[in-house]
Amino acid sequence: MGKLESFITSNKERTINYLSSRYSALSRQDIEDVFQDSSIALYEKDRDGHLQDLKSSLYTYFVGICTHKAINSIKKLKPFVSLDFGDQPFRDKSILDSRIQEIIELTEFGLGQDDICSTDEIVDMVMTEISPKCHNIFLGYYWDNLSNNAIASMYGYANANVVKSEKYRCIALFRKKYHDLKAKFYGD
Amino acid sequence: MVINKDNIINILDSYFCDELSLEEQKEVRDAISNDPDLKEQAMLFAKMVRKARMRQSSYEQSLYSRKAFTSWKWIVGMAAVVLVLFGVNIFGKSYMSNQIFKNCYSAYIPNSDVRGENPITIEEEKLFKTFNEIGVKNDSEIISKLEEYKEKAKDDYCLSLYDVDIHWYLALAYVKSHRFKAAISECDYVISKYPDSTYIPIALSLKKKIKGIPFL
Repeated sequence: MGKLESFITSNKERTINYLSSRYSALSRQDIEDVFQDSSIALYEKDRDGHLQDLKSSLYTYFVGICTHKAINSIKKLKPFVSLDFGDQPFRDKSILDSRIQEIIELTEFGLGQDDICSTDEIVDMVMTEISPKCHNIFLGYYWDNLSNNAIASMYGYANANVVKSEKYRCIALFRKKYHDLKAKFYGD
Repeated sequence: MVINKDNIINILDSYFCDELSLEEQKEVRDAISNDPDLKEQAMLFAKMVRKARMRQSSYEQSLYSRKAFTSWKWIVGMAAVVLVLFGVNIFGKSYMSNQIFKNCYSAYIPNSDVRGENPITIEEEKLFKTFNEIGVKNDSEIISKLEEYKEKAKDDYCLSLYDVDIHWYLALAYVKSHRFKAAISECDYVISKYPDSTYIPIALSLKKKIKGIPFL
């Protein structure tokens, strides 16, 4: 299986979930068709080299294609259905790496190189061990720039508030694991 | 703005998305700098977000690596094509210019009508020799000589009698050295200024042949 194919397969479930909840005018089969067409479009974009200069994450781009194709399908199949679908799946503004770096530099100020390295090492370790649930939320929010509503639809959470509290729970868990590992390796 | 351990994550989310005013950004930085607990919380959170993004970014980059290779192949391929075209262009032009020159060139035979009974001057003899040295002597040397004659013919009565010949042979010399645009310009001069000249049919033919050269 090619890497892009694997990417599409691994994101199929959440995409179908999201499209089904957002475009209720489409049947399950229609949604499957939209996903299939969007996957082909993504392959074509990859073939033509358009994916290398993306300004967004690959998944954000893919959801954009799916959304576009879903709306076209609705227009074609059900011309009298309202095309007002409420909230957009993406947040208005995306995360800027430069802003993250600003905070890191500010908080590292005064720390020795050893402290900085040990912190980074432990963060790396904790991140490789986080649960799939937390990984999905972090990825959706901090990489794909998805709204809490969209994340809720994709992963079956009741609503955006549940996603928000789950995110805080994941961050708290991350901090706890960080401190546990730090105590284990460096004492403290 | 109140900043404490309960809302720092929310505030940093807005900070990372550049949603805070400059004043608010300063408040956040001051709060983090002055409170060790907030500082640690902010550092871990920022590093966590950075790590999550870096991991996914390198994963997505790996998805396009095949494309990067393809792009590399494309660049090499295109470079090869350009080199081949360049080679074809250079050698093709060289071959075509020699063929056209051979087809159009004939040695200059002095025309007695030009000077009547008057004896040919040394300068005229030199000019005729130059016409007949095209294709034998160095092209740039011949061209510079003919260009000099072209300028002199504007003021020198004797040389002005050979103005059409000078322009025609200069056109041929340009063809020989692949300077096709200059050759066309000289042909145009001959055609427009000397419409009754015996050079007209061959000048028209020369122009047509030059315009038929590919990649020109």
